[in-house]
Amino acid sequence: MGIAIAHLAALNKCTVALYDINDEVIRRALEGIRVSLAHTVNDTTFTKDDLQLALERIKKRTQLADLDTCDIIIEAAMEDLRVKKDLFKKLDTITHYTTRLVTTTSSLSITAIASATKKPERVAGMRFFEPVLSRDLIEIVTGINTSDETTDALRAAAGKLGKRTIVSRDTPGFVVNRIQSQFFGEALRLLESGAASAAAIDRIVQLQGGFESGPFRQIDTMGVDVHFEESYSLFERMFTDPRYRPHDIERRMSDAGHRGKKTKKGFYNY
Amino acid sequence: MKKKNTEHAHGARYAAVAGDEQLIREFRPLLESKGFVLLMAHDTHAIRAAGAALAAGLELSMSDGSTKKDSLLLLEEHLPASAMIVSSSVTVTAARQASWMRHPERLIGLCAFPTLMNGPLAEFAIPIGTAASIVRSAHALFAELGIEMVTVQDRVGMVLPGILAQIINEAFFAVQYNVATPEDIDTAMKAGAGYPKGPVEWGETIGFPNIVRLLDAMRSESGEERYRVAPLLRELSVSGTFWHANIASEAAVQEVLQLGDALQPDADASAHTQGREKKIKRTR
Repeated sequence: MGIAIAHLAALNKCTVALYDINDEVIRRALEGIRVSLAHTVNDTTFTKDDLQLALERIKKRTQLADLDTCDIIIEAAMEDLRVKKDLFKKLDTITHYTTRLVTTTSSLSITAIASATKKPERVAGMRFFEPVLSRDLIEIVTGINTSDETTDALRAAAGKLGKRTIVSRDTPGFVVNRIQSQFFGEALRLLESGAASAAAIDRIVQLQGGFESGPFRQIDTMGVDVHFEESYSLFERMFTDPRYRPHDIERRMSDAGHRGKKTKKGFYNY
Repeated sequence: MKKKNTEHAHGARYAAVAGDEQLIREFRPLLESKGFVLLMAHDTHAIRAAGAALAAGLELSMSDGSTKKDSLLLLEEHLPASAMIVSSSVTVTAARQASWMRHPERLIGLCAFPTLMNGPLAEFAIPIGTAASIVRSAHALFAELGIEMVTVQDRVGMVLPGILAQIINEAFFAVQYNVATPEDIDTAMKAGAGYPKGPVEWGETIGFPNIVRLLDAMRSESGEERYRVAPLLRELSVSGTFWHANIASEAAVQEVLQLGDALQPDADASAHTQGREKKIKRTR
């Protein structure tokens, strides 16, 4: 996610510092961005010179302290509250108080992450959607202490990245995952109870409903195990409200190694 | 005059229709574009006059009780014995509807649900007792209408209406809990998740009473708490209009706020007013 955001920022003429403790990880990330950008080079809208300029906008950083001049720092570490809180605590000490500290979490509490800082009003969430380059939305998530100034600054930043924004309060699942939980949940319940096959449900949802993609294709793409973990986490954070109950079929499939596209077998074979 | 036309129109084909105005309005253009003349089920004279040219009876209602039963019995009584009866089985299973009929072998359940009437495919539920000849006739009729029949299990909510109702219900829980504005929720689901319509606007188009009726039927059928209706959605289903569309002007907003303030102690009035004004503006 971090690499895709750096890619997006560079394409939109923003100078971006790409940070990782491992120099090799950054080198590979930059190579990936270069290869991806090279595919889009043409004679008019994105020339070789544009490619070079975009790559020059991405600065390699392996020391956290080197991020002290950034206006916005976007964290995209693993979905582990302890890891994120530790990172935000460090960022809180090395950055100016006007720097906005942003997490890309899709499942953790912004307020909990912000609690690791002394100025939680400058902390918020920015949820990007896959594929980051083409999805036209960023969900800005405000914690209990997030200031209006921080929200406004993030709206402006998203605008520079060419994205629309919506603002969500810091509640489990925010907006998109919360509503998607019903899209997937009801489809899984129908499948589990034998109402229709995964392929039939996907076809109905796409062709009759006009959705971009059916629920089971989507789960296979994100990973059956990943979706199950996300569903379980939402269920727990909603204090086991039955509306968010995860489905055993996903757990059994994960246990069997049928985890979607990445294992070449999920609700479909690949 | 219309009756005379139906009696004498040579080569015309007819379909008898009963049910909700909204569903009939959505389905009518497709039927008429294929040359069908629609007869209302209560026009029994015209139905009898159409005779063997009457291809099907369509019961398109979201009701869950006696109205649907009455319509089905009316169609059954006046349609030719060979005509199939296709009935919406979104809120009542086709099997239950078949049990009301004297000739249940004529019945096929259809996913007749607002906004879903003109897609390239449609869900059907076929009860055990339905005659094979009726299934074949239904396939032929809907193929002619350009609709592929997808058979799903006969259960309340079928596939897509149940999924949509749950999505819309969740959106209204989110609005009610002030997670985001209705506009932002719609934008998020369209731009972030590839929905063709935002759940709030979709709910408004389908009709809040229809969503509530379906969720109540799903809850009753399954006994599952997950289908409980968002209180705001139920409220809207009673008021019958979109909740923020009622407030027509700034003056009306102020009036609403002042009415509320009359119930607040003076010291708190200002803070309450500011809070609620912000909330109402966000949702307009």
